Amino acid sequence: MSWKYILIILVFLCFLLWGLFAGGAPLSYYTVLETLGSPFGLASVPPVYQSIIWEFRIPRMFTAFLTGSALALAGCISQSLFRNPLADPFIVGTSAGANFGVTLALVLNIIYLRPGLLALPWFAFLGAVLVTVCVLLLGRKGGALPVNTLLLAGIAANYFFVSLSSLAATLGRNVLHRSVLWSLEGFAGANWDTFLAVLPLVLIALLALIFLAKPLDLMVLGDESAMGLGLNVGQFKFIFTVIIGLLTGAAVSVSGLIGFVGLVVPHIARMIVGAKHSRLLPFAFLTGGVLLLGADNLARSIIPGFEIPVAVITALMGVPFFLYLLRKE
Amino acid sequence: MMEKLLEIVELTAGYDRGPVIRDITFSLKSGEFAVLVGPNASGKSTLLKAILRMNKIFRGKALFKGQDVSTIPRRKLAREIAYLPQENGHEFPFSLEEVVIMGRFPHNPLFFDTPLDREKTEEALRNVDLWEKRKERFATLSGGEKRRAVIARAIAQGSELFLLDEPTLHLDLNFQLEISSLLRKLAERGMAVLAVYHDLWLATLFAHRILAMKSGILLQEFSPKDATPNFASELYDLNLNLLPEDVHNYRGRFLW
Amino acid sequence: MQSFWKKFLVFFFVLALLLAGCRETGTPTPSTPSPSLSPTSTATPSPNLPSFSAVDFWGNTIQLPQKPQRIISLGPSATEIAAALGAMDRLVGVTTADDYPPEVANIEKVGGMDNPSLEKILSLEPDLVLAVFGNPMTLIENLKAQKVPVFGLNPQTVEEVLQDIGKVGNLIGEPENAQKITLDIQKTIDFLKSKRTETSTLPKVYIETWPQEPYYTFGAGTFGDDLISLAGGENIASAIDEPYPALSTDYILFENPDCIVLAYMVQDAQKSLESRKGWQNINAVIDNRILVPKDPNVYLRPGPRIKEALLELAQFLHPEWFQVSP
Repeated sequence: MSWKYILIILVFLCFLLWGLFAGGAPLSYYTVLETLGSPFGLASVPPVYQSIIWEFRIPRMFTAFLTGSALALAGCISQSLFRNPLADPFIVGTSAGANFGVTLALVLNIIYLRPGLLALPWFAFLGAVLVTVCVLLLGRKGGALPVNTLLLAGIAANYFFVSLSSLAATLGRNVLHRSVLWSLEGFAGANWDTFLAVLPLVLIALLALIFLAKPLDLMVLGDESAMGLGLNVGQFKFIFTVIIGLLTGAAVSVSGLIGFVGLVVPHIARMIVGAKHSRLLPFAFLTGGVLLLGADNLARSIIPGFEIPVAVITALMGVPFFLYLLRKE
Repeated sequence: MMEKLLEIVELTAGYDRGPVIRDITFSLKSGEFAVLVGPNASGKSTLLKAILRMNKIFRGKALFKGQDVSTIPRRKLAREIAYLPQENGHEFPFSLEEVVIMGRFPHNPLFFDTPLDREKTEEALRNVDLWEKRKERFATLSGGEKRRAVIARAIAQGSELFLLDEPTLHLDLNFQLEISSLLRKLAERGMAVLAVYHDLWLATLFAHRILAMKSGILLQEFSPKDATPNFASELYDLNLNLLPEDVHNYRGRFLW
Repeated sequence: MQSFWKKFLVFFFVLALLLAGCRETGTPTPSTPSPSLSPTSTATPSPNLPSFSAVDFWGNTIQLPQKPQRIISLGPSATEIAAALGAMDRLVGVTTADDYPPEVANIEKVGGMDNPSLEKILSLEPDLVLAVFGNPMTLIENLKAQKVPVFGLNPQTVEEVLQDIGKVGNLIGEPENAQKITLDIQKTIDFLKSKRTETSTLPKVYIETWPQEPYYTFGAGTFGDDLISLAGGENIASAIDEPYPALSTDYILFENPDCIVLAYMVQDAQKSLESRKGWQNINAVIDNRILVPKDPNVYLRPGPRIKEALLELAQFLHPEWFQVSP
């Protein structure tokens, strides 16, 4: 089993290497290597190249990796929480919430929160988290959180906030166009700040997993079996939903709406290491990160000097996977 | 070993809209395999859930080893009592081993499985004769094997009391016999087993005691050899006149 | 063990909130390269402003240390302005949307208008970036963080287009060229304005910027809307407070424009429009007052070629204005 981890880490290192040498700026291999060595005094390159590699290319790769990991983790948690392999992490309404937050900011014409601090990522994150809270409140049924009710609440929230966004968009100038641009932006604007924006939440989620792996196993068995095994099911559903909200909120705020990763990666990981979460979660974490890293590498280098929205690439990746799933049936 | 493991005292329990079972009183000792029988909606499942505090207790109490169940913290309760509800299997690719080791959660909720967990899991699997299949996917097992696996999980919990809700549901007859025999063996090894059975006949073949429930009350308790067609017809409101003529010509096989 | 989970929950949330608050604590990003001049929103470029400086659309004062030699334009209008000012040889990067003047084809492309490549832009080592409305804000912030001067353009009237030309002229060190261009265009505007005061009826105009449903046009607060009124027309969408609204057929039919301008390049555009269901009843179609411009882009780009658009449209709407008196 451990060879699988070694493999995925190897793929990660390969993608990292690939990403270092690929990008909009036409830097030769040698120049890149020089630039890598320059902060350590091993070579000297013009400061522009240092900026390109150290301020943008490298943090962008790490951001893409962490975002993919966050989405994959959230995907695993939602599929186990809802006992449904077709659940994606936006199911608790986070994408609609983020979209609504962004629309609100655009309608109110708030571009900056303070000089140098763009407002959209924050509005997206808060929107995502707020809608998750709404869903939790909606999904309660006499103190418990039956999975079906939670699901319906999420779907209802999705529809509600999407239509609210469309309505709100008519109130502002050029809002729809700009919100679509936001959702497709991907990692084009990534820098160390965006990396630091995703990092804390992902670390917390990782930490929480020590306590969450077995409860997730039990959740799959069913509410009553889980309770019979001593799990406080209501409490954990709450925790799981909040974590899904935080993880996807962080991901969405940094990279717009990227689909398929949260849906597809848990399947891939399950196929390789099985469903036990103590193995599934770390492996999905790595796989999701690697996948999105590769997708972003493609997005910014497949046509040199051009940025393709990374969501397009992940959608394309999702298609063959679904065809494969169909064939399996 | 002959202590009262489980004691139900005038238990009246149900849901927010009102009690479903009323004034249930009985007790169970280690080594006993007791079966709850009765028509649908007689409150059999509700009784099991009430013991585990999964529904609302209006009056009365359930005692485990003399201690009120409502005072026992959830995880400790799970170590003492193993509950197998009527739930269906899931389709996630857990291996048999992974499902059984989940039974160790009340003892070890953290990330890693301890060697003790693995030891107990092996013990449980061997107990139900599934050790060789431990690496197989749970979903690919037969109905009977799945039930045995779930019972193994309950054994891994290390509890002395087993509560099962219709463990033979949807199983072929051969598997029904297999499971019932397994439960009886568990009792003979010193566990206390309380199971809800849909099939009265099967219950009479394997149980030590039969508790008949109807409309939320405990009608009667009797030993299997005292089961009679008249009693069965009273419990289930059977219309024995519906039976074909020649059934009365041979006794024994399917209706005593 | 219940209390254990409760404590864990509390710990978890407090930690999450604390760490979430630590976001965006990177290096402070100055919004202007030099704070020496206070931002002023002048109506016209003040002649007292030092050279190589101007105030952009966002109110930021951009002050360059010297004449910029490596300019990157992030939109066709900015490119045309820079080219008209005579700075083509100093333009080192444009977007794929830029196509005028034709020599622009030889300049390095930095990506699209919506999604330029930050790396590509930086690798070209610009000392000035001209940004237009539609460029991603994250890109602009990242450029500013790298101390690259970014000048934002977003003119909402024809008057502001002229101001922008003047500002960019001052910024890149071609104030005389800028004056020449703006004075020339101003002459045209003054001529049209004088003719308009003599005219009592202004035809209703619909400029179509997208050849199929949804039909996009210029709404209130855009240079396109202003263009129409200067040329002596009435924009049927001027009451709509949306820069690029999509009109429904109902609305267009109801407004019944007298003239239609097709601001896109499509084969047999006029025929397709005339064949649309219900459109045959529009005045413009009945009277055959449909303008297919020589170059539709002049209507779409707030740059120096707006003069061509003004004249072409005015001539189309009011040929009587241009009749030379015998």
